[in-house]
Amino acid sequence: MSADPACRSVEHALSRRRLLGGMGAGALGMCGGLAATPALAEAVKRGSKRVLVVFLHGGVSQLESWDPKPGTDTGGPFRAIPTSVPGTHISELLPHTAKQMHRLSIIRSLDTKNGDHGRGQREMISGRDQPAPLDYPSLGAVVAKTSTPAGFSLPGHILIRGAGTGPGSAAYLGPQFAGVAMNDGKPPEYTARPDGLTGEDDRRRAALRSRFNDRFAGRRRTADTDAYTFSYDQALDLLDQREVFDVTKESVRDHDRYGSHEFGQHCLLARRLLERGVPFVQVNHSNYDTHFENFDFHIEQLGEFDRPFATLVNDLTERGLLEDTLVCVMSEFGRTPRINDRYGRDHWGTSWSIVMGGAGVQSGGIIGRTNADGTAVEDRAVDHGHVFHTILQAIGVDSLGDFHVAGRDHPIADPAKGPIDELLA
Amino acid sequence: MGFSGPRRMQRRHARIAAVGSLVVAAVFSMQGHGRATAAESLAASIDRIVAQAAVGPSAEVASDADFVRRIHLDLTGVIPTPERVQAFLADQRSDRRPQLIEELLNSRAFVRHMGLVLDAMLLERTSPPSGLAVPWQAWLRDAVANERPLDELLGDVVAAEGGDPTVEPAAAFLLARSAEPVKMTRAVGRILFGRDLQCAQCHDHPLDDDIRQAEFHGLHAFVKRTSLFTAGKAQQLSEAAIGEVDFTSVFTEESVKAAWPQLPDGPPLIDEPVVEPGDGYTTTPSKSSRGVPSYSRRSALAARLSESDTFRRNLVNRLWAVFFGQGLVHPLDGLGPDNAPSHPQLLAALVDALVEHDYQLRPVVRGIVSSETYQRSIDPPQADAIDTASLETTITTLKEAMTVLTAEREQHAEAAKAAERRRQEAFDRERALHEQLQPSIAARTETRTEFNTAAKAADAADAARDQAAAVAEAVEGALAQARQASELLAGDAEVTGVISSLEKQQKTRSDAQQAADTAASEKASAKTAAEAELTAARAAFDELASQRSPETLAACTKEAEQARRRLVDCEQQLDRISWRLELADDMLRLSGLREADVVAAEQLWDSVVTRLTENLQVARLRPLSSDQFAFSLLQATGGLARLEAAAVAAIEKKPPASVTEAVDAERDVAREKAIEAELLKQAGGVLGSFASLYADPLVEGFQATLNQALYLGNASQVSSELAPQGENLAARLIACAPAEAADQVCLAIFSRPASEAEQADVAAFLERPTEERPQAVAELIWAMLSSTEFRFQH
Repeated sequence: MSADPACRSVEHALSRRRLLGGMGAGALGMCGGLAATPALAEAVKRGSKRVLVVFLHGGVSQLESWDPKPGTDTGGPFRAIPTSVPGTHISELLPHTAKQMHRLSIIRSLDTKNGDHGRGQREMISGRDQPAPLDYPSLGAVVAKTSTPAGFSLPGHILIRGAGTGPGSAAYLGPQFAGVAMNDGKPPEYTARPDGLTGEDDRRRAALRSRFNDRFAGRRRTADTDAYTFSYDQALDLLDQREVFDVTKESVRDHDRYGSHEFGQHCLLARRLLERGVPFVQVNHSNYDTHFENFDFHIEQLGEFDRPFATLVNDLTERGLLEDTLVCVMSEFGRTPRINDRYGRDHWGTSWSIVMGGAGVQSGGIIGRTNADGTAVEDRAVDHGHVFHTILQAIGVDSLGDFHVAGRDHPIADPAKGPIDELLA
Repeated sequence: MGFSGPRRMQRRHARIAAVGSLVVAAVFSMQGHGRATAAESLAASIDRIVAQAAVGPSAEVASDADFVRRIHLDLTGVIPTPERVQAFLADQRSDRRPQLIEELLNSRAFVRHMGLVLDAMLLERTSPPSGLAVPWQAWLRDAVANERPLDELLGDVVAAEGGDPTVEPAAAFLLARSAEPVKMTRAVGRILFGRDLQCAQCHDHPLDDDIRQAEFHGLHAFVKRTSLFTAGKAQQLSEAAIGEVDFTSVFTEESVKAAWPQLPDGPPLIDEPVVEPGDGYTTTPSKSSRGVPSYSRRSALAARLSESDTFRRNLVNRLWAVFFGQGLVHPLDGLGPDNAPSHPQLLAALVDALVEHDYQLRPVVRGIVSSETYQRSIDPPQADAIDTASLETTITTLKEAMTVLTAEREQHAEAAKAAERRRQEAFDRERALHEQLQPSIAARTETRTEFNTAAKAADAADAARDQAAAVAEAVEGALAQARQASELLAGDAEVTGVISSLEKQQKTRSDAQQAADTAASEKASAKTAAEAELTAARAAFDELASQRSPETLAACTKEAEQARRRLVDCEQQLDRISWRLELADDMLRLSGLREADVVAAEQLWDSVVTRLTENLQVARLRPLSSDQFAFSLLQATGGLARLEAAAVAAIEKKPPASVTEAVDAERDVAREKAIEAELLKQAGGVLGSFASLYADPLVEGFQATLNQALYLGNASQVSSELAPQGENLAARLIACAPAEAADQVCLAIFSRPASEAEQADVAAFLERPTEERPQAVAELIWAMLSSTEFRFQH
């Protein structure tokens, strides 16, 4: 038959247990349909870990950041500086981040075989080969589905952006896991009560709604009806916590430390959300597409990136969050080692770098190696598929498993790939 | 194969049922047309097949209040107005249900709703290029209004030439997939054939040997030549006359060159016209114009759709899902041997009805919603309604059927194997011939190229010859005139000089003319020779090609498919019998368990109810689609009446050309269509919000999300409908006596009168100071709109 019997029976057993237990605020999972439910949490392997992605839109230059090649034809004008990891050097454009490198690892051997922005964004954020848009769920949707804690009432997948592509698609996982956008750091849509409706009014009408629901449950009650009623309880909870979206509640000192510019504010907001347990937060930083004047632009862009990012890594560590938060700095691709005649670098997916740290990954490490002038990967070539598996494994998700959605099985990550084992602690 | 296969048995049953339906038709006193009788026979078939498959007790037929809401939502996409509910509940006629069905099938709202259903089914919320959504939806509504056969409609969406999509909106189906071949293949496979072939793109599906790579590439070949053409800002379709699909399996490393176009269950197209250089186009593709081939593979696909049993099964399965919230095969793109329909015979009966009614929508819909199966209640039967003795009879019958089918299975398997062997032989023969044909196709290409060159040279030589002749003639003429002048001027020296110069010219020109003549005739014979070679090459091809036998291959493929179908049907029925036996056993265990372990008994009963629902014995509680939810919310609050009035006023004020240019009766039709389009435009904002927030339950399953709840709780699109405006629900409730409020609000939102308990609840809730009445009313309406009773179809 179409429905997976194991799935059905798990769900069913849970529904009964909950009904008999008379739990109040709980909800039911459907077969693969719902995530933020206390009951399903027991049945699906999931931790309470989180993911922070910092996406450098346009394609950051690996040579001006994580894989400098000073003194070579391709290396450009900047020096490499020592970091908090003896023997590891990064570009001098990242002095603050250099002091955090013992908390992060560099993967210097990405070969994603692509130089198209749209495709690169799709592939890095979904972990699948997608020359044409085939619509796989984005990392945020997968993390929200697998790692939203029981009874959690905030959105599980939040995208903070000034510019850059919109919220990640949840594809077959459904709209529950699609990204919720905080455009320019503003609160998500519909999180303010309409004029004239007080919290008290809202709770009164909710109580009446429950009376209608209870009566109808006497006719028929299913996992769907319970999930539906729960979603309204969750919305009420969220409105009570609306301050979580308001970065101005952070201290003046923190605002100073992160900076008043957009990226600084967004990093501070990301910290706020991660502290409240949001499973997936992505911050976009734009724009690194430096076909002209690559070096000037990187001074400017990375100059903006460096301090808030380093501050965020430091704060997450000091607050004990980094051990449960996987941090990844990625782009759609890197930039050509060859410097063009306008002092620019073009699109390059053949040998570039990303950074990962926190949660279950090794810190202070370097994975893979490029050749002397950075034009090819010499060791341990990996791509978006391996990165996707690694991030999920790091937060305790079995990335080799399947999602069961509406009677169908979907591999969680590209079944032809696997994690970068040596990076997993 | 001298035994009675399931399909044949099923046909015999259908004949018996047809006799019975005459009685049913008389009882329901339909309009007396033949088609109504036929529809009754579909309803009767449905009920008979479901009854035969039933295990234990079934739910009662739904109450009139449930029915009136359900049928409005399913046929018109919106809950009924309070007046309609009251009128129906007061109707004492015994045929009030068939009467209402007939009325709704002929309503404007049916056209709107089915247009939206087809839109969601075909586009699955992918967006067509901007500006195309409106004409596309109007095109779908026209198709529904005019009862366009569905195979034609679906043929149009794959065959659309795609020049100006606003003139030919059917192109939206492929344009919404950016005319990207892999996406188009996937969409055609899933939506037209119920087959998700995504994994087969790279290799044979590792889990389902029936999802073959060849199947994907067989469909891929139909669309591979199609691409996106951008004319200014408009997106159009372009199709090439050549372009083949080559693929290599990542598992077996076997590679196929130039895969034949092929339907999932049809023969490959082995005798498509060979395109020679210079031929093949009505419009040759270039930077400035899109290609239109003289032979279109997409048209070939369209022409073959209705030959495919998979296509028909998919179509009825998708229609069934619209009315039951789940296909007989689930998921809808999971049609395959490993995924049995809940009622295999029912799927076959629906296919028969569809074909019998020439792929028309209304007769099939009428048959479905007229059945008792559709009209069952969502209230499950009581656990103590289980009758042990009758269950034991059921078990005996099922076991007997199992024995018979198990024996038959072997025969079916043998027959399927033999038929498949014959198909493979025929296929191999054609593949071998195909290989042999390749050199002669190459020869045709080569000789045609040579001929094209020779023809071009001959044309040029002809032109040169004509040119030389003209020059010679001119010189000749000039000479004659000069001589005449010389005579008149009596040997003027200058004229004599001219004559001598012209005489020299005459000699040169006549030599040149002769040379051009010779060259032209040489080129002409070269052309004739090239033509002869081309003719010979064509003849050589034709001779070899005449050995092909597409008829034999088609016949063998059909036979193999039918034999496979019989085997699969048999296996799927066995699968279902095991499933039903398990259900029967669980029901028998219930009575014992209830004394031993109440908790376990409760759990088991819950599982039994879920399975009774799947077995069509209890109606499914299913979520409304986003369109149904949005329209119902507007209907309940009174917003829809406001939008309708606004749409009528807009058309009255400024009738579009389609109305002003129409005459007589056509003007009314045009006006209705214009109002409908205007209404959808007015409701577009709300429909769009709902569509982006609420999943399509048929594709993504039911989804209850935080964003939906936040939207319904806080969005101004919703809260504005809760405030009094004109004679909307809020205004009526504020004005009415508290004692009447409960009935009014329940009729408007729940489509039924209030219960006593609800009367008390509503009265208590509204017991607030007069100045707070509007707020209390808004809260009351909201509480009901956000309730499960409103969100689900029941």
